Amino acid sequence: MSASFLRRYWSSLTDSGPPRDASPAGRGRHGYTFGQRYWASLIGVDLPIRPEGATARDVRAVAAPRSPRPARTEPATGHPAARWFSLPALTEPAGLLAADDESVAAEAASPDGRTEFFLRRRDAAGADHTLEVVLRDFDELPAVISVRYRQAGGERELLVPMARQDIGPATAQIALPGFDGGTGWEASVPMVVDGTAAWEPATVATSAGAALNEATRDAWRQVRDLVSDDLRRAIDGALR
Amino acid sequence: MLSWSVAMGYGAIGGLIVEAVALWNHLSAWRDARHTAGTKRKRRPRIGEFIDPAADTAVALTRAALGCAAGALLHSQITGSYAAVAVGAAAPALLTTFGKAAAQRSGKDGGPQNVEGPE
Repeated sequence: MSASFLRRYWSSLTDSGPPRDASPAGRGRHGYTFGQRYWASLIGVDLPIRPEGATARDVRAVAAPRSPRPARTEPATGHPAARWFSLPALTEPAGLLAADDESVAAEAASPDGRTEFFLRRRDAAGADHTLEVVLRDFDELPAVISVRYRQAGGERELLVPMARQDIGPATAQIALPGFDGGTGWEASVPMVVDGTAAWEPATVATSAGAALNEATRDAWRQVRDLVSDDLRRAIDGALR
Repeated sequence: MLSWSVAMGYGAIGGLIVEAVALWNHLSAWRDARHTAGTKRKRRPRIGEFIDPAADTAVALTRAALGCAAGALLHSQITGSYAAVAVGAAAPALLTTFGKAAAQRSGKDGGPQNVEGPE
């Protein structure tokens, strides 16, 4: 019986997930209410660490805004004219990405603090990244946030759908294929979805295909009901 | 058959055993993090980054109460102290498993909205 099988057996028996190569970074306390910390402790889950000084509703902006800096995020319709802000690059990619599986390699927030970004790496080599986006206090849902980053062979833009959830803020999780470590990546403010949305169908299809969980796919289904026929077909094709 | 009060007492001990195991895990994580930080010559994390006294105390009381309740519920079927402790430990462990499963169901990779619970 191989050691690998025994490890997997023990991991499954104890519901502990894959073995960690490095120590965890601790438990998040700042920025969470007592109820959130209590519940997480009761079910044995560690909350992700947020920047010091953050509150449950307001997270300190850590992303350097681009010029012109967006003021309070007003819903922007359309997207060619979307307002963008820079997200922080990974200053020590090798060191940061050597952390344990699914660790947060970078964390940022929009200038108004309502949108949070959690960049994670999925494989040991650090070549495969995922991005989780959390949008708070934004009533005009569903909305879409664009993320742009450089990759080998050019720039890629992905759309992140944000829709109302049964519990908690709007959240979506996507894969970032070809993400190179974060130099010059940026995100837009939330854009309200309506029938005039004019994204490229190919971009929409790629973005819907990058959805990593059912909540994100549900958000795409909500977006689908509001957009034009060609975009609807692109979403249907990607979610099929 | 154990009496109500004795079964509840042993059940509470069982619940507190679950809490002790959870506390031990956090302390082990803190020790590992300190060791890793030491070898990389980085700042050693404080214990407060791994232990949340207020939340953990409330959770300990909840687990003891759950153990009490399980002991009371099954006291007519429990004939020994070890069984009562095991029943008490099973209640919070079961809740933990359900809670984790719910968090994983609502998001594949367990993002913040999945573990934050009630605001």
